[in-house]
Amino acid sequence: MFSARDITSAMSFFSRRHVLLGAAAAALPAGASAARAALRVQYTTGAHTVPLQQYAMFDDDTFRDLDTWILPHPHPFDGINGTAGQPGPDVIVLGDYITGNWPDADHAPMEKYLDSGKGLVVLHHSVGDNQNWPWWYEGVLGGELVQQAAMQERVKKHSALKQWPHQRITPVADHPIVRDVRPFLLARDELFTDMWFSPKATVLLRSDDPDLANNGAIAWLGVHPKARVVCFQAGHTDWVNQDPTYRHIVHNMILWAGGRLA
Amino acid sequence: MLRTGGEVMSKRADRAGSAIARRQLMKAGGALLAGAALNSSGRAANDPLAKLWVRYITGGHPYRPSYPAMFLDPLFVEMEIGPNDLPNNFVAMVTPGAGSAGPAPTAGVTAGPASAGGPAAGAGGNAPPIFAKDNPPDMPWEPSTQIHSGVRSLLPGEAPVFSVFLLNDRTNWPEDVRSTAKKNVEAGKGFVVMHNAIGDNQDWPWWYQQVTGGLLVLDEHDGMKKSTITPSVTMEVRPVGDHPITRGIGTLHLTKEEGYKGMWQSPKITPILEASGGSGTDRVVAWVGPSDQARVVCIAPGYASETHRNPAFRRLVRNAIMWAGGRMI
Repeated sequence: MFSARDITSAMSFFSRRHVLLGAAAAALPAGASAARAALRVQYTTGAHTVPLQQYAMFDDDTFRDLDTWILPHPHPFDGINGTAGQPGPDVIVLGDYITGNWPDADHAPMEKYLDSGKGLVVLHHSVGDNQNWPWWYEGVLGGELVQQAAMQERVKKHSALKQWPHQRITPVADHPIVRDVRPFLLARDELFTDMWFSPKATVLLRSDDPDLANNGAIAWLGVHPKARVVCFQAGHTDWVNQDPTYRHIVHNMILWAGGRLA
Repeated sequence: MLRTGGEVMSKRADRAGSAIARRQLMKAGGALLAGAALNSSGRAANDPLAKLWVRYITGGHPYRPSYPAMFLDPLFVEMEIGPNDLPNNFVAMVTPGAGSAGPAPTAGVTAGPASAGGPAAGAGGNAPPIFAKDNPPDMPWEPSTQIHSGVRSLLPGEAPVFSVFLLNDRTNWPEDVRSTAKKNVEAGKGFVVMHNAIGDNQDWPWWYQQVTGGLLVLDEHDGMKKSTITPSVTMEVRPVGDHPITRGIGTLHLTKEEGYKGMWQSPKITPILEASGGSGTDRVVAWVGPSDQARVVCIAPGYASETHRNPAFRRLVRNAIMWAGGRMI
């Protein structure tokens, strides 16, 4: 299989200036947030097409306050809990699509990462990751695309795909992620219908598309007891990924997942 | 539907995720399932009025978002760039007609909502594809650069033929990928090997000796000493010789680059860019590979956001892709 021989350096990529800024921030009095280090963000893709605009979103001016690196599969999680002298990410943004399971070697570091209370933002295809790993969708995401036979059997349903609906999106929770978001029209997108949802998932945004499960849930908070997890199933097309409102919401999700939005 | 000169231009496409129209994909998927292989030298690939299809592949090593953002520059208007990162779809997309052997199995296979099949994935694999059946008839084509140029992307019913593979991964490919990559080299495809990917396939001499002609040596082996990687290198990079890729590029002043020194380089390469002004980099930093079948270009710089935003660097990358795709002489 693939090997990334120099993957030991994978998490050495967060810029040194942020480490220095972090040290400086630690020396400042409480409330002196101006010198806080930028959130370290790892955006992980793999195994499926993603529009250039989703990658480029992280280069948008809106996201320049983050220290973002793209690290696709394979072995993207080897360094997420930090290595000697090198911090791991504060927030992982998933844009991959591996519906079976991530390789076993990826499980333990992700479990440890989440248990440490860090952030996870799950975009579009990634709500279909790890369908053969019930802990992932029942204990972390709280909502999942259902395609794999074993998961269909377990949750007694099967998802489908709907292309290019016009959707009106409405915030439904009093939550920092959507507090400054007004109802908006979402550009045409790929929509996963009949997803499975945990009753514990907190819905943040609802779509008016009639085929969506859970009364139109399109963004929701995950259910992990320690980590800050948020899922947004929109984000397939270039139109959506360059939509300022979409980008604003994703940015809010990252800030909240990283503990910077309360 | 857009028409230019009476000719139907590419209609709707899911430019977004797959860069392939859902409807076209369904047709292509049907053909694949029927066992029909796509033509690797299809009309669109050789038609200068059609866009050059470029498969963007990364994986296994980090890079900045400014790298993909570079390809939204109108400078890249003559091509359609479709990302599809490792691990799974590399084989499917490198191999013309990959997945044509039959329907996707339910385990060990990658095939998402926008895919038609593929090779083994990690444990568990991917689910069979599900195809939409409700594409509206008026979906406009959005080129990857979002600039409507009048250049065709696809004709109705066509599936894309990827002519150039733009690599920025850093992995040792598994055997099935190597096999299909070799077929594509033999088929005369284009490969643009960027920065991270110069470290690909440490244990596959055929790749670095006969195809790319260079290797960032990550660990000493086979008589090759380990290369050094130096952060934050400043270098002046100048064209050498007279090659279409570098014609008109001028001198590039690169800062904050990751310098490679001590790369293994074949005596058969054709240098096209040389660096000066720093001890952290080899002299030859871009070259044409020795393959007499594929068109292969290697570009060692490409780490820093400052580099990705450098207009001359963007021109260099654009030219490399166009040359690798047979669009520059």
